Amino acid sequence: MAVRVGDRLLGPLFDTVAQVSGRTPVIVHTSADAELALRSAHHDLVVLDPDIASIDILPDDPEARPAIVVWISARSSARVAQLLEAGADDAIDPSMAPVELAARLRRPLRGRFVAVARQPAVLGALRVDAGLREAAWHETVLPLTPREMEVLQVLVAAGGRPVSREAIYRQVWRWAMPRGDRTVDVNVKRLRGKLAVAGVPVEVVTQPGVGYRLTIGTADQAVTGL
Amino acid sequence: MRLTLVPRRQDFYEVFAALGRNAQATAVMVEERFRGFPDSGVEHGKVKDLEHEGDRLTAELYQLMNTQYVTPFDREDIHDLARAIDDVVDHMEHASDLLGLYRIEATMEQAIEQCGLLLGATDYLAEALGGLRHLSGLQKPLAGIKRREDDGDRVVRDAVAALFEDDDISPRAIIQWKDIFGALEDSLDACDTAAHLIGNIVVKNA
Repeated sequence: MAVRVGDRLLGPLFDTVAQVSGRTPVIVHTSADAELALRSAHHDLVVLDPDIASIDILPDDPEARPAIVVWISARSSARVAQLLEAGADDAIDPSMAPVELAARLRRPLRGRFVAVARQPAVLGALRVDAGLREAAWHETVLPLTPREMEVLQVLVAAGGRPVSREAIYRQVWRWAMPRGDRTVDVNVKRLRGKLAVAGVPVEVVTQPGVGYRLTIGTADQAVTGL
Repeated sequence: MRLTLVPRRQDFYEVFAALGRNAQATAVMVEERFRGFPDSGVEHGKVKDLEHEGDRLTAELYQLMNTQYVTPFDREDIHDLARAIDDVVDHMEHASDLLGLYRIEATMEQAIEQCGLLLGATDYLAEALGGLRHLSGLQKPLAGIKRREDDGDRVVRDAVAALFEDDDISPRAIIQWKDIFGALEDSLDACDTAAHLIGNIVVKNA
């Protein structure tokens, strides 16, 4: 997120972004940092305040950048049209209720999560390419179902950071997770069992109130927090 | 078919008690299936077997009615109560069947909560049906069923609301889970109907 620190709506916006993306948003305060965020492969969504970072810094290639939603203080058709023409995915403003904010932030993320999930992910000696239906620890192929493989790929891609159930569900099943749904838990349980049977020193740790994260045991050089 | 004039009241009470135990056993099986689904090891066939057993007992009860000149309660009451107990089991069996029919990957917490309420309600139903012989001590189980049914209304409202909290929830999931929540709720409602019928029998015969 690149928005003004003093913005009175920052809190609700921050919460909505966290809820929609399933991750903890990062706030940057300068144009240079915003530009870095826009070019980073680690961000799925950037909420941009044009008062901090000019819309001109948007990368040309839409495939090589995160989803970009511009936060404008006052809405006008001309302003929104200008931003959309410049490459923004959408424009949001303080007049919008949280439910509309969430819907608008979610919309450009849909296709992106598909793209993220299709990229192979590596953590230590663990490599997952759900697109090719391949998961391996060193040279040992792991007998996972496509769903388990996709869940593992999301966790591997997070590099040891916790990922919420909702975010896993959205990336693997491409829909919002209904409250109370146990699909992710069931797949994680099976994944744990298969990793243990295969002797892989990778553990799917439950982070209470957050979700799941991966840790790799000392048998491999990798550790948590990668 | 010949009507016999020798009263066989015991048989009626025994079949009602057996129907109660069968409803109780079905709830135990369905709760286990939902709680551990898809790895619980409880296949739907086991639930279906209990439903068949309920149908057999209900047929036995109708057979008794058709062959007995004297029945312990009004024939209409016996018929309606047997039908309500049959509905309790049928709706649970339907919910269990939908898990497989709809190719559900995993259950939802709210459905497990509904199954827990059905466990309690069918325990009370079995207790009430076992007490028909003496028509005493039925207030506690009948009130217990009513409480479970009230709780069930709350749970199913919350469960359905959860399906509409986000515009991005899969329409497929909404259709599937509305049906499953509905079937479990119908079973709890049938427990309540049975409790009402038992209450009426008590008033008429006590």
